[in-house]
Amino acid sequence: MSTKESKNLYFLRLIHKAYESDNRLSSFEKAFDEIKSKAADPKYQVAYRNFRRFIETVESTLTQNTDLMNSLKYSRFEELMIDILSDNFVGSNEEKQEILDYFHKDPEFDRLQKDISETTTASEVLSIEVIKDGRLLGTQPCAAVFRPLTISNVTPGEHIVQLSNGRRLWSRELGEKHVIWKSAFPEKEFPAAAKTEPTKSLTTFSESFLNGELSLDVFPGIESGIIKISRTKLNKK
Amino acid sequence: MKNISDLSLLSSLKLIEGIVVLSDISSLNELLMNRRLFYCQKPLLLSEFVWQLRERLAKNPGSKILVVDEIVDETYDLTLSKFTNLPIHTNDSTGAEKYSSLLKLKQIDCRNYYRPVLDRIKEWREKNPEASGLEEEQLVGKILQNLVIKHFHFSRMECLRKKRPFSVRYDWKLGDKTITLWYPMEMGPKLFKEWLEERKIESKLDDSELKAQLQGEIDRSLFVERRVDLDINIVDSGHRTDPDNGIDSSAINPNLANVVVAEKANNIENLRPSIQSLGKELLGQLIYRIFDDLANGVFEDNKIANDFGISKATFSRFAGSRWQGRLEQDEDMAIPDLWKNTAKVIATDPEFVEAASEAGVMKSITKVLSIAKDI
Repeated sequence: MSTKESKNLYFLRLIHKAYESDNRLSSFEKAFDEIKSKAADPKYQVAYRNFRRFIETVESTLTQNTDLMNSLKYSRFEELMIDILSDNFVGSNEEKQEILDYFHKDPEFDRLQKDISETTTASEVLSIEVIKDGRLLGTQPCAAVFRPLTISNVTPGEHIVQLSNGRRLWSRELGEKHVIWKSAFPEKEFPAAAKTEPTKSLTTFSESFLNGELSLDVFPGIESGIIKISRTKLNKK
Repeated sequence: MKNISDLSLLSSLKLIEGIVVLSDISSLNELLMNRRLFYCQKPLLLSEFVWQLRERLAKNPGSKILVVDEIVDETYDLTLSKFTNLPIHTNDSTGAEKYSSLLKLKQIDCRNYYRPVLDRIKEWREKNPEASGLEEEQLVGKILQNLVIKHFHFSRMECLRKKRPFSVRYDWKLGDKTITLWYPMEMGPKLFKEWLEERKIESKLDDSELKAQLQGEIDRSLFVERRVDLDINIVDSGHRTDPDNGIDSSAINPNLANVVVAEKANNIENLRPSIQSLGKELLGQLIYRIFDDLANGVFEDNKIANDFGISKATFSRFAGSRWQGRLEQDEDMAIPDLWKNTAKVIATDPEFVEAASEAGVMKSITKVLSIAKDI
C-alpha cells in the first residue's frame, strides 16, 4: 500500500515508468489518461494539483529556454520533413514551405532527400504474368495502353495468371481438349487462316476476370495452343 | 476466415481491410508472405523491402553515429513490428486478457499503420470513381511503400532518441551551413561548446560526414559513457555494477533518475547550502533513494530526511511531496528543487511533450506541435 506522500507524487512514478517502456509515446498517453481520470477523486486532489504545477514547470522551462524549445521544434519538423519527402504530408502548402525553409541549409535534409527519393520513385508499373508449373511463360506491363499478351506453345497443365505483386487473378487446368485441335474439334479441319494467324482459330475456352477488366481466350493448335489475355474495358471499375 | 486460395485472389486493398477492420491474421499472412507490393529494382515482399532499407541505412555515413549494427537492426526490427504485430481477438476471455497483457508490452498494433492506406484509397476513389482495379492495385502498393519508408525513418529517429535520452540540440555554424548536433542536457551549452572546440575537425569531410563523425564522438564520449562522477554505493541505491567490467549498467542506459542526479551533481554549487553540504556522493544517494521510494510507493518525507540527517524543512524545499500553499509564495519556491529539475529534464523529451500536448494538459506548447498533424 502506498504512503500518503507517495500518492501526492504518484504521477511522477507513472511518468518514470512510461519513460522506461518500449513505446514511450503510447505509455505517456496512458499515464496522462490515468492521471486525468483521477482528477476528480478527493483522495488524489493534492496529487492532481502537484501534477498541474509540475506540468506548468515543464511549460515554463520550454518557453523560457530557447534551446529546449528549438530542440522540440526540430524533432517535430524532422518528422514532418520525412512526411513531405515520402509523400505522406497532409498539411497546407504554406506549412510545407515553412518546413522546407527550416531545413534549407541542413545537410541532414540533403541526405534524407536523396535517400527517400531513391526508394519512393522506384515503383514500377504492375505486370500480368502467366505461369505454368512455377515457370514464367510470359509477362506484360499493365500500362495505360495495354497490349494483349499472347502465349504460344501452350501444352496441357495447370496455368496461373497473376499480377507481378503476387495477386492471383485466374488459374485452371488446361487439357488436350483445350490446346490440341484434334482433341478439341475432331470433326473439323484446322482453319487455313490459323496456320499464319493462330488466334484466327476457334476458341476452346474464354473467361473474363478482375471484375471483367481482363479476358482470357485459349486457341487450340496442331501440336500446342495459344493463350491470349486482353483488356476488355478501360477505366471502368 | 478465408482459405488460402480465396485469399490469393483478393485484391491487396481487401486484404488490408481484412487486417484493419476484421483483425484477420490470414489476410495479414497473405499480405506478408505472398504479396510483392514493394519495388526496389524488382518486386519485393514487405520484409525484403525493409531489409533493403536496412542495407541502405547501414551504408549511410550517418550510420557511423553509434554502434552501426545496433541502430540499424533496431530500426529494422521496429519497422517490421509496426507492420506485423496484430492483436488477436478471441472469445476466450482468459486468452484475450493474456494476449492483451502481451500486447501491452509490445504496444504496437499494425492496424494503426495500415489504416492510412484505406483512408487514402477512399479519398482517391471518391475523386476517381471510374478508375480500374489494376490502377487501384498499383496505387495500394505505392501508398504502402511510402508509408513503410516513412515509418522506417521514424523508427530510426525513435531508436536514436532512446540512445540519446534527454538531449538538447546544438546548431554549429560552419560557413553558410548549420550542423545540428545533440548533446546530453545535463552538460549545458557552455560546457558542450568548450568540448566541441577541443575536437579536431577534418576539413576534407563533407557536411554530412563531418556531422556523422562529430555526433559519433559525442555519442561515444558523452552518451554511451554518460555517468555521474560519483562514488555512490550503487548496491544500496538499487543500481547494479557489472562485476566483470566494473561498469555501472545504469550508466549505459540512463533513466530519468540518473540524468537528474547528473544534472544536480554537476550544478551542486547552485543548490541551497544545506543540500550542498551533503556533497556530491551523498546527494546522489539521496536522489536515487527518493526515486526508488517513489517507484515502490514507500516515499515518506520525514523518513528520508531523518535517514540523511537533514531537517524536514530542508527536505520539503528540496523534494517534498506537499506543494499546495506554495503557489502564492515566490514563483521560484512554488515547486521543490528536485521536482523542478525533473520537470526541466523531462521537458527535453519530445514524446513526453507530444503526449502531454495530445492529452490537453500542456496547451501552450501545442501550437509548436500542431502544424500539419500527419496521418
